[in-house]
Amino acid sequence: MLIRAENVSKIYEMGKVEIKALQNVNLDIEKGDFISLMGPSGAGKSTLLHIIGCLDNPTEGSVEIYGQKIQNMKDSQLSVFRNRHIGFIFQSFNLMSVLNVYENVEYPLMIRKKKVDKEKVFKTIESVGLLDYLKHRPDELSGGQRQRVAIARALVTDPDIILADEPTANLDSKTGEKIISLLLELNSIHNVTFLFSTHNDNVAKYAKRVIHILDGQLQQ
Amino acid sequence: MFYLMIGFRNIIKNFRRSLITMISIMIGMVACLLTQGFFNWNINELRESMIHNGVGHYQFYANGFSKYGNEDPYQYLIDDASPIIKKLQTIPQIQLVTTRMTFSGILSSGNHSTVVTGEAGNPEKEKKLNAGSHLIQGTYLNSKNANEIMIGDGVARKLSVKIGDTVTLMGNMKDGGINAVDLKVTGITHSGYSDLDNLSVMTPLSVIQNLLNIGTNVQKIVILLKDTGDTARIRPQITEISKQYNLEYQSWETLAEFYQSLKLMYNIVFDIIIFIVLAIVTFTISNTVNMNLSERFREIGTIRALGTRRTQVAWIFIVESWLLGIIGGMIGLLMSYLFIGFTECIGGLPVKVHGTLIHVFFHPSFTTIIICMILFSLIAMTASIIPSRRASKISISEALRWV
Repeated sequence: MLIRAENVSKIYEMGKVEIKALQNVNLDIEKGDFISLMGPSGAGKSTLLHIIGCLDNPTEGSVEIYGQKIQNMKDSQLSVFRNRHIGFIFQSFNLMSVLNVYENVEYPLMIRKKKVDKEKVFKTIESVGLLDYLKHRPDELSGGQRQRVAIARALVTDPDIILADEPTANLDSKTGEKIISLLLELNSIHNVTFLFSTHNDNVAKYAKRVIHILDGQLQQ
Repeated sequence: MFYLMIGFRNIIKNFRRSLITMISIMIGMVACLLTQGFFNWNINELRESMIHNGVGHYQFYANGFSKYGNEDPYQYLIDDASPIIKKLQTIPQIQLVTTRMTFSGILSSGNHSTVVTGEAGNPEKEKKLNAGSHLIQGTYLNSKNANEIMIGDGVARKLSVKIGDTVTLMGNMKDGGINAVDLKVTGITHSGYSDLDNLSVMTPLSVIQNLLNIGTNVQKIVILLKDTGDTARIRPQITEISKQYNLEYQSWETLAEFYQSLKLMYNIVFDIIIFIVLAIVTFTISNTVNMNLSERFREIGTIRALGTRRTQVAWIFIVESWLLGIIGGMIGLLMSYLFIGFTECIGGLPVKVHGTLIHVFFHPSFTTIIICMILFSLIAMTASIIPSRRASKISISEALRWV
């Protein structure tokens, strides 16, 4: 088992009001899965991805990745853990505007304080088809190209799982499908595990497994 | 290198804001360097003026003079200065050695009399030392054996004498008797200190030696160096000679008391100025980092999600501020030197003080430049520590949702 979420609940306190973002969520993810997390806005997709991605702690319940409980880790350990085991793709790409394509992809390896395997960076960029754009800054790329850079950045560390929060939401349908096809290809060829959220049926249809979420509860 | 690269690119990306911060650092740097440069020039001018207006770099006396010389000056005279002078002249850093007597007496023009204190020395050498203040009328003492006197303009007024008049100087001889000598007024001097100009006179050494009946004895040997910077370098040789001839000595550092207290005052004023400037720069940088932080919330969330540790996030902001400090400081240094170069080219910045036109220069010390550069870069880093720590502690989840 790659990831196991047990009875995960997340409650946000907004002054005196409590918002239940997740309620008793139970989820198992196996190595090589290609899962779509479907639900409308505010259903709790991003919250679940953040908790599985060690970016946030659940109010109740536990998350285990390869048998390690993430709640027991210190912040510095979580940083290293995220860097080594989890890749992220965001809806708005979230690339560093001051870095070019090569440097954005190189970034997760740079922060390891070890010598960067440049060959690995080049190969990863090649795998998303952007070898001709190495020196380009994000503002010189199209939306689809930016998301490819984000995919390469998520892939370069050879993570166990890549979490993608609405990866196609900011792209037109054609480009969005190309991006999902690319993720699927990476899943098939390299056995990379993907969990991506979407509210688009056309995107979700590519998934091997679809999980529906509504009002913070899974509707399997 | 990685932090430097990111910091530098972020400075360029937010160029307008970075520029405002750098300008504030630059103004601070220019203010500090020019203030210290002016103080340094002023204090160095005063030092050289004191040294070249009679104090010299070192003064030798008979052993015990500084303790008991005032009570019994004739007991503490140097008997034979010739071998000491010969020995001193072998030191290459020494430009001039001269002997001197300080005396007091009554100066009379016939109708009027006044108490005077003065220095007696070798006119040729004293002229090089520029002793005797500024000559405003007449000429310097002509020769070492002539019966001549230069008097302060206050003394001239009191006695109603002019150039060429004869005055009588009376003094107590070594054996207690009173002696007098007629002297021709060759010059009238002005020091700028009226109390001094009401008392001071200057004569050739031989005149006073004869008047006081002290033979060839002298009270002190004054040394002028080619360069004030050599004062400490030749101190071991000076100490050795003083021991050899049973003398004591004082350097200009202890003789120029006014210089020392003024230097201390300038240092205190400069410390206050630099404190105020650094406080302003700290708040400016802190404000910039805070603005920077609020605009880069999502970026912080992203890099934290990718595994960047809190300390690494803090360093990104700290290094960026440090770069602002360094670049701003360098520009400030450049601007200061452009202004300093300009003032040098025009022969000093003309400033009117009490109706007198003086030319002001700015000579910041090398130590001050280094200290200012270090201080400004350190303060830039320090000012960013609290905002950077705040940046590093942002909730990743919240930062990623930031719009």
